[in-house]
Amino acid sequence: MSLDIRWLVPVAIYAAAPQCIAAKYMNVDQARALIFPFADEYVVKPVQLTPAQMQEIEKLSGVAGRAAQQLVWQAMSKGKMVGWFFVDQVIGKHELITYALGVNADGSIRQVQIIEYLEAYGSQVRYPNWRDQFVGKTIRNPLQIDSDIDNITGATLSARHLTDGIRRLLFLHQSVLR
Amino acid sequence: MRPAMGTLVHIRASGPVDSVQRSIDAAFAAVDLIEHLMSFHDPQSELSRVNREAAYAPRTVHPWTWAVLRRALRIAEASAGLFDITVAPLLVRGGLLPGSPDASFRHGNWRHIVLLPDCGVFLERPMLLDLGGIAKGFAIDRAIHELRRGGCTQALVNAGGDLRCFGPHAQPIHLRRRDGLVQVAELRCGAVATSAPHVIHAGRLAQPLGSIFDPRTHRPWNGSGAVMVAAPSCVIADALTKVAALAGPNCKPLLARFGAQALWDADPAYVEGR
Repeated sequence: MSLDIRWLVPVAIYAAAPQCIAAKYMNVDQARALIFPFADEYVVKPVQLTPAQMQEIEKLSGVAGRAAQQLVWQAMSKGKMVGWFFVDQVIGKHELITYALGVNADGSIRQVQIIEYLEAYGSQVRYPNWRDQFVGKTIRNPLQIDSDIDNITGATLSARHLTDGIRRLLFLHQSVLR
Repeated sequence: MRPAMGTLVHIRASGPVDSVQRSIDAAFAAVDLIEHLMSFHDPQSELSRVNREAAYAPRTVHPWTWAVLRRALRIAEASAGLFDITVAPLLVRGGLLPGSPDASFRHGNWRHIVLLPDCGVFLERPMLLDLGGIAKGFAIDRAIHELRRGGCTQALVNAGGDLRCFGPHAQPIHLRRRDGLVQVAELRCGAVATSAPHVIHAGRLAQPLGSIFDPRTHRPWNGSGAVMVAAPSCVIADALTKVAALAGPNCKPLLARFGAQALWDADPAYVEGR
């Protein structure tokens, strides 16, 4: 009895059995209601960036945009604009993370919500205390991992890419929507 | 190819014409005998009689049943109980094995199985033994033995993804993933067994099979990947997939003691020999 086998792949392509499976946590309506509970109307403000605007945002934020279109709504309360609502996607490690960003009328971050997280692990970016670090920040803050935003062990890439995505949205807001 | 042991048993052999068919018949006869002896589902099987009676008085069993029990206890001891043929009540409770609700209580573990000389078995407590995690590998080994003895020069026995082969030509080993088959190894001589908690249906993940229960937690293994174990014999490969699935790469030294190697794959999958 003997074993004669030739592996054609690295024998330890092991990744610990993921404890968390991909999940859609909420839909866009639920995210809006969480971020702007007092808003009574949302006005779609589709953004179509020109190549020059894309370049400018990339230069200011240090993040290349994924697309020229951006989903944006104006949150209204009793006919008055109270903030902006963005739905955006960033790459986590292999899969896209869909998240919502609420920005107050003064340009500061109101709230971040994770709508869909498809990665097997790294979903700690959903934890409120991590997301709360963004609240109140503006483009005058660095909004950088390991600077004013803590990284998360085991969710390094998700945390970094979400932070980059949020910073980019703030600069997009400043360049195009103000 | 024939149905047996709840799956399809596939035998491919080459050699002198007159000996090939005879040894294939002998190989299937060995598989049938093992199913007859060790089936949990068949109330007339020897294993079912052991489950009913061996707690009251020692029972004498077929040398093959005794051999499988001895190997099962050796692996249970080496893995500190991660491989345990007494988890059947959990599978009964989960609806994966037949049995009355009375059968779903677990009264003991592998330490309460006593093997006596001359193929005797005694259970220190009323227990249900299930050889589902090891007998298939043993059957493949016996089939290979018949094919080798019958004069085949090259042979492959594949029972639902657990397989063993010998001969001059290497067999490609494929792993089925969501995105299709991937060849992960070439097997010239030896056995490969695979466990995965999920089945794949038309390329999509279906319901978890949940057929590996963790004796420590009494819960089904819920990893999302697959584990493939290669070993000199299929009985070892079959049993060690359960250990490798539950323990992860920490069990490499244990695998090495049995001359086995493992591949852990994060993608839900199962193996296929071609």
